[in-house]
Amino acid sequence: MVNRERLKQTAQRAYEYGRLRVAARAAWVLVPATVVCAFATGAKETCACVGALLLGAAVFLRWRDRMGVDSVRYGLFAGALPLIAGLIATRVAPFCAEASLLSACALVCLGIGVPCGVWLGLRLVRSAANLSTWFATFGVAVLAANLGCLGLGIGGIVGVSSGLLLGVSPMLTSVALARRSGRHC
Amino acid sequence: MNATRRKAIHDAMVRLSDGDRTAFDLLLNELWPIVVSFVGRGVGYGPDAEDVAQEVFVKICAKIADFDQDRDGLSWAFGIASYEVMTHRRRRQRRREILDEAAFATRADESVSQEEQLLENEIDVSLKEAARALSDEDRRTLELDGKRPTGSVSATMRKRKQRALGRLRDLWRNIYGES
Repeated sequence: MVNRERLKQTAQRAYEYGRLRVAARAAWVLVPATVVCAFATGAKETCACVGALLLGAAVFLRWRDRMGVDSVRYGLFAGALPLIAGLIATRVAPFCAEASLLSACALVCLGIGVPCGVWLGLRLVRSAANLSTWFATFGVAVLAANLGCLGLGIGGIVGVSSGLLLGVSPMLTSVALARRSGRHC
Repeated sequence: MNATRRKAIHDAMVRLSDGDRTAFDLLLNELWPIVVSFVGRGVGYGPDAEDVAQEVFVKICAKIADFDQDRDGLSWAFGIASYEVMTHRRRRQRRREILDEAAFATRADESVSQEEQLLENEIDVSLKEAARALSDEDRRTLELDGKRPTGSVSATMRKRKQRALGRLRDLWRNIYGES
């Protein structure tokens, strides 16, 4: 006779392991991206650190639930353009690495970050995500974008992060206000 | 099995694949008896059946994160169960060969025929499962419910039969995979 409790425990362990296996597939994208960034920007340790952080967050979110899977997908899509742009800028304008916080490089990064943030906000509004999903998605997008902008110094990092934040904030604010007023009503 | 139960199993699978762990008890209560019965039919009711059923259930849970929500959950589970049953049979056969090669040689004919019969039974059960998803008209056309189709012209009938067979083949592939 089968012990149902033991069967449940074994099956739950297998289920969690299966979810982790599926979640870890994010590594197929993130590990090569981190390696490319490390070699393109020359900041190997920092890239490895940001890449590990991004991979950890992606695997955890994807393992947790479907919302997490969507968070990682949207976050990576939103962060892909600044990542690629950052890598190109590192090659085209290496002087940006020494540029200050209020330089043209930072402004360009800000300009790239804003539309990506707007796209991310619209996407999250359409999927009726909760606030924790907003923050998780934004976190993934910022980490992915920064992975490519590490070679652009502090101006690039702050610029692209602020751009994403500026782009996403109107939608985030309106959603938060709507939820608040809905709760009060 | 009724449609409500089938839907409950599918919903539990969808919830689990979405990461809702609270659906676990529901899946265990609804799916476990079906898995035991399916495996029992495949390997024969005995001590082995429950072991294989446990393996099947654990495999289903391990693969549920990959579950395609557009497919029917129960058919998907049966696909995994069929594969495990076949694997168990192959393993059993190999074990038998190693343990008692000489005795196996003397009774080779008998064991082969038993194996074939088991296989035939399983194919029969699988075919009935797949045929249940066909429309009544298709089942009648393929004479799966034992009745001959009525009032048909031969060319039209041939075409209809061909289409029904195509649909049955697609269903079979959907449920049990390419092989």
